[in-house]
Amino acid sequence: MDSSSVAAWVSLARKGDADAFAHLYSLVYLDLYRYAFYVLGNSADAEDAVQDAVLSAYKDIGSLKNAEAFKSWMFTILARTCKGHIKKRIKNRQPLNDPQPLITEGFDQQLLQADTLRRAILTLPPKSRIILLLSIKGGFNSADIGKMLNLPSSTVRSTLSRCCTKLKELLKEDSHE
Amino acid sequence: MNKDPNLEELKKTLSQLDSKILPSGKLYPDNIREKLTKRKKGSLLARSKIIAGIACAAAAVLLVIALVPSLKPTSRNRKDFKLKLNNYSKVYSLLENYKAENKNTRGEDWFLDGPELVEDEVGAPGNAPGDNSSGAPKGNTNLQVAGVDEADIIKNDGKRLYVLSGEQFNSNGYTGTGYVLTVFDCTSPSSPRVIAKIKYYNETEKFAPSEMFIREDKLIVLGNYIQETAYDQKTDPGRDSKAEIAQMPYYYSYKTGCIIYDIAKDGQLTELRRFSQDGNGAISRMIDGKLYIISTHYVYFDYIEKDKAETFIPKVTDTAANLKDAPVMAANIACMPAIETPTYLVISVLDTDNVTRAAHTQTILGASSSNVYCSLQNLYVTSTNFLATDIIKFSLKGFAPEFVAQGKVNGYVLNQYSMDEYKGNFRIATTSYADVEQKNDNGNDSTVSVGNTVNNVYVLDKNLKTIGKLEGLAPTERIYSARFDKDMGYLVTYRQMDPLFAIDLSNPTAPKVLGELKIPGFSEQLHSFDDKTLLGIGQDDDRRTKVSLFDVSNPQSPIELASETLAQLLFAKGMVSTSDIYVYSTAQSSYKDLLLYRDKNIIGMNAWVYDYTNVQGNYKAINCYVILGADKETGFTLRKVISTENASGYAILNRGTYIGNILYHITDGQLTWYDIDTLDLIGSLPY
Repeated sequence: MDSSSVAAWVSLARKGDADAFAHLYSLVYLDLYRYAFYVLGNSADAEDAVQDAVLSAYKDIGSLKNAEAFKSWMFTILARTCKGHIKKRIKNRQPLNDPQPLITEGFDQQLLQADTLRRAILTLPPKSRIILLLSIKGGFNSADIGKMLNLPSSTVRSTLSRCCTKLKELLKEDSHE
Repeated sequence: MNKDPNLEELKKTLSQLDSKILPSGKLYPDNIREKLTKRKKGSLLARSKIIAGIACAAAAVLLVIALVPSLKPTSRNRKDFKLKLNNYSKVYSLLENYKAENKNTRGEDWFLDGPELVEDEVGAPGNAPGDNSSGAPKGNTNLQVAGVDEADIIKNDGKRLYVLSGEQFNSNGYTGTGYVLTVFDCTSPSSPRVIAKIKYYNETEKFAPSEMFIREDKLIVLGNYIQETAYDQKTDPGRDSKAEIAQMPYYYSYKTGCIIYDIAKDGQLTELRRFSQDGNGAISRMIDGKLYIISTHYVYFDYIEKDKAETFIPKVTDTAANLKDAPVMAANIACMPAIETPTYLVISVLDTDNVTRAAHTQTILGASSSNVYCSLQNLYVTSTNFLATDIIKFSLKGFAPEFVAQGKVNGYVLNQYSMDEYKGNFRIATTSYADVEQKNDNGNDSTVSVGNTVNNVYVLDKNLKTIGKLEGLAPTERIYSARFDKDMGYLVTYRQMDPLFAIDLSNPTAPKVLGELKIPGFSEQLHSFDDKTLLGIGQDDDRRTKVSLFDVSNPQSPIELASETLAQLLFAKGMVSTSDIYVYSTAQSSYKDLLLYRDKNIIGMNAWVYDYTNVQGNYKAINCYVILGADKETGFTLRKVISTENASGYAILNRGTYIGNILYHITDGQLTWYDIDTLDLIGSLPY
């Protein structure tokens, strides 16, 4: 995203311009959706989460202090919304790990391998999932993620490194089977 | 930034699925736009009839007001605050009330709560006066207030260097980065040697160090205690599902604290004491051996139990008092007049001179900390709640900090350097959202907020009552750096140009702007270069790190004496083929990353050089350390570029310091040293 034009759109959106906000949204919505899909495991929840996040972001646009931070601000709200979805599932005693099938046909080894990774990520604790995907799908570094989630960046770093170790183990097990 | 190859690999693998993951029409931007528009109409209808029929833009503006509470600066009476709770069940019932009142907005108390998105931590260090008590001059952590020590990743006591660095390690075929504490003996400054090393990444340690203090013959390593097992110990009959527990092993695992080592014996670190308190976002200060640790602890409503204080009261572990996860004493718990956030502010003080003396911990329900200003006499803890900043003041006269007053100002605080104490008054610079008065066509008065930022300076008396203020500076811009110096204050605000404001605070009840200077880019740090000159470190309009000198001898009209980007300086020295490269230093925003030694004309900082010219279709990122010289007549020169190519790991550490005539450069795994006058290489030591 070109930061100066984003800043211009943000200032319009802050004045309540829905078109400006929708434009900003269009720049990031695929990233947002994919993030939510990887965190929550299915498209219905992911769409709900993105929609909730977008509506609450529009309502709270005044809290976006730094226009250049639009993307990380949006992701912060989405991460929080995803957390809410997970909480709801815990409360309703629904499973936290039931990936929607994604690869239903074909034998593309690389795609299958990628899907195995996606499923492995869904077995990580929700908090780790949220952090890991902010890194690998959101493209944020550990300092950014720390700021977004209000965590020390050392915690983010250690979580990321635990996730990598854990995923390696999981994928190793999978290939032995 | 430093890329972890493991994460990069995961990213690459996962991205192959992207084409399979596409949302349905519900999320298409056009459909979302329609939803937003409907929503807006709905809200407007619900609001008022006056606005029916007026233009859309004005209507949208009105929508914002309802979300912006009126926040005039106020200060609360001391009596309002001092609600001592004395027993745990009172605390419990307050929490239950909060829970009931916030039923609908809750669900936020799991782990992501806290202040809104925080800005980059940036600051402007005060002059760090060298500790002249023993012999040779030495590099110190940049301090805001002389005598109030701040923790850092390198510490230098004039004889030894203590360094926290990253190190790669292998565990079960996985390569990760762990933290290592290394102690260098520099009694002979030109031949340092490693005398001790602690690796914090083995399984038994469960401690992640962050920063350090030195106090005489003690080393205090601050950090987070890792508590992955906390959830397993939880015995909630309704939540005994093993699978569920396995999903959340990191449940309330925030403990912050320190390990204190005896360093009197050469080459040995003897552990004396461990301390921890619940909470995260720890901020610390040390005054004359008294170590203050300030954290914010979040309440996890789903897991509180009336008969178990440890489930809803912050806990403390202190080997000096044989305490292990003991709830804070009821007598030391207080409560804000209104509980707006389900958080506790936790403040402990440790006597580092007497390791057997128990720490004192107090906690305030409904308070939190995002920034701290500490003078020799008082501690000010601020928390920003979107649009206003709460300030709680403690006196540091006795061992335990004692509550003095509570106040509130409009806007949010950038960092500790936006605050200052002088002649008993507290000064604070904030950025807030402006209310702009507008009249409707039909003559009805209405106040609307257009969400523009303005900047303010408040002067509060010793009871935190606002006695002077300067509001509405630089509309649409925000503060990027601030510096208070006795009767003067300097603010850098920015949107497109970098106005430097000089503010006269000699009359605390009537602060006024004396002068301003507009220049491209902005400074994120302001240092005193000399009495009449400020050194600014910031970035130009292309986000490249630049250094500037400002002459403020005539506050009515500050003058920019010199300004150079690091890129220009590297080009002038022939280090790069063009000045059109991107060079960035974290010293721009992180004041501890800056080495300033005026007597030897040394301004040291790390630099990331992104060269797009030499590599086809890609760029080359080079991490190095640069030493600049500055002169009021001739401007800036590049005196030395130190390569960090030999550094191992992810170059977490890239810092400089000095003892006597030796300048040290430290990266992960490598210490090199130079003659401080000629900057010629003397030696290097892998560690």
